[in-house]
Amino acid sequence: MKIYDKDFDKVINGVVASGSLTYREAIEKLTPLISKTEFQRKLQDKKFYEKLERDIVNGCVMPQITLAFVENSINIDTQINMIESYFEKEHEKSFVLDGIQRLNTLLRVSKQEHFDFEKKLYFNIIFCDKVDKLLYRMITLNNGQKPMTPRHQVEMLMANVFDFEKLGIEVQSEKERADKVKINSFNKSDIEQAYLAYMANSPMVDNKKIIQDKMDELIVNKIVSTEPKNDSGNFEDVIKAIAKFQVKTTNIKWLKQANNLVGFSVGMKTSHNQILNLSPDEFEKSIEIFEKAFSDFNPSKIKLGKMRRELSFEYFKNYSKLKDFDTYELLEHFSDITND
Amino acid sequence: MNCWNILVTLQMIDRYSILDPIARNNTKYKHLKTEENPSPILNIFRLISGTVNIKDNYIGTTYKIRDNNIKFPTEKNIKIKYETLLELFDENVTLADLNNFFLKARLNKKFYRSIEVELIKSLIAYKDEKYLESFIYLYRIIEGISYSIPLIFVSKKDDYNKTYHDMQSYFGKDKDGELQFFKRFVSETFKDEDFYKSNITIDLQLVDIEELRPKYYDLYLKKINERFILDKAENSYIKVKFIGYYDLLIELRNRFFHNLKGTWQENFESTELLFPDQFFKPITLHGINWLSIILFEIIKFDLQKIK
Repeated sequence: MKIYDKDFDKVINGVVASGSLTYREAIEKLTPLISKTEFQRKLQDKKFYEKLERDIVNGCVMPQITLAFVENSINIDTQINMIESYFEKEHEKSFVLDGIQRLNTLLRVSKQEHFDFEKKLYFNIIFCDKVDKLLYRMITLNNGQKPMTPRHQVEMLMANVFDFEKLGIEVQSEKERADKVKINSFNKSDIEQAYLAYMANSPMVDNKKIIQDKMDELIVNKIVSTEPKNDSGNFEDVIKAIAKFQVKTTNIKWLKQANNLVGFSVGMKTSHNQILNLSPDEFEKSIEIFEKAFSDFNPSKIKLGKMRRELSFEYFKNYSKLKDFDTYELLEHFSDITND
Repeated sequence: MNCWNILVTLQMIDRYSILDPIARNNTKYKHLKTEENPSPILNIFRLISGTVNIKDNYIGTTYKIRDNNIKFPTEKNIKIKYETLLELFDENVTLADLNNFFLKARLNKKFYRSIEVELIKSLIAYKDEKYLESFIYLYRIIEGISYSIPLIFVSKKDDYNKTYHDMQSYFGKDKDGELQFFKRFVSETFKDEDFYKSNITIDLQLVDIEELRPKYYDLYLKKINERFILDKAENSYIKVKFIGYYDLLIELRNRFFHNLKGTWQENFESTELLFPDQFFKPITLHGINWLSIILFEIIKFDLQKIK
């Protein structure tokens, strides 16, 4: 494995290095990373990969792939040879950001006779300290032909990067839930939804009435138009806050409701400092005021879910101002902003 | 019976009946059932969601309407059941709620009644692959609602103080008519909705005669304001912003249905289009979809006033 060069990406505050390894090393070190991810994208264009298979047999140079580490020990001053030895030691911690299908194809082809294991595979590595910035880069600078949808990308990061147990919350997928329900565990799809909304800085990221393709397009637009800010928190703060508040029954019950969770998460993008500093008791008091105001506000069932999402977002987004409101003032505020 | 009598009898019975393929024998949600509930608001909802059969009592034909035009873009309902109706509403709404809504929905009956027949005509013509005819009825609906919908919407706001402002913004500065009034209303009211921010793809592949595609592609392009075009591929597709599509509908209608030579506008020559049904084929369904999305918002607005 060899690193040729590196540079510093000022926008995402990360080191980008470029290098190559042999197909043998790629199959040995990188293909296990794919099976590690629980997530499998459908072959989007079978013809394309059939072509690639044939080309590899014929000795083409594979389009380069991109790996990523969420890591802050590699910085602007790290020497190239240090990056090389870091990769040798820690490659298991990396994940494939772009090129899963190409590596899959490579693995398939390698089982054929006369496969050239010594051929080079070029790659980029991104070392970035924050997951959010990485996601931002993935979505804004898609280097694939047919980009993964933002939803897929979030799913992938969820599967690879977040250690929920360590962060202090229980997360279960639909499948695991079918086996055995853990009490007080969050729905994985709800957390994914919350993350997507967090990145898009908008609580509305799903709409059953709009077909997925068009919706993905809208989400990408929202994410791209959300400027990454340096002083902003990151999604880990949201998880940490949930972990902290969930000790009280009222709190976890409230947070487990998908619309609340999404509204709260996106609100934290703006108010992470104030909210992280709350005690579980203070948080409980806040949501009690919210609930009272919300039920007095009495939105029609026709838009109850949407309202819950938007108003919990509004409440936590402007928490520094709204935290001192009593139920009546909050109710007044809700009817003002909804113009109803 | 003489001729006069036949005519009178025909007028007295409705030509079309709306049959409910979902609630055949189910009596539980009878206010959702078209045969039980005569409310035109229910009929409009069922027509635009593609969940009814229409019987032409005069000819005897039954049309299965399955294009779900509340979805964006239009999706075909493969299997229709109660859930098809439910999934178009907020997750908290139950069938019992819907049943109750449509029992009590009495607002704007005349308004809904006035578009019902036109909508049926448009959907049937579309089914019969008469795309130009379908377009004509679609256009008639748009003209018919362009003034009343904004008024209905504004008059039902809880805070009358705000309505003056709203009205003012719909009127704009010039005397530019009801269609522009309606456009401003749509822009102002729905600008934050996902459908408004999304776009419509005109698919030239729908034109069956391949040789006509380049011609039609150019003609469409000429009639769409450039700032509404998001993307295009020669003779293949044109991607238009939601609100720009409305302008296109109006423009196509104006250029096709007028033939004055003295004005600056370039009207279509019939020799240009050759097959008008083919010309309108990639246009009409998106138009019905566009209108249905707005109609559904109005229906929801009426329903949400029911407690």
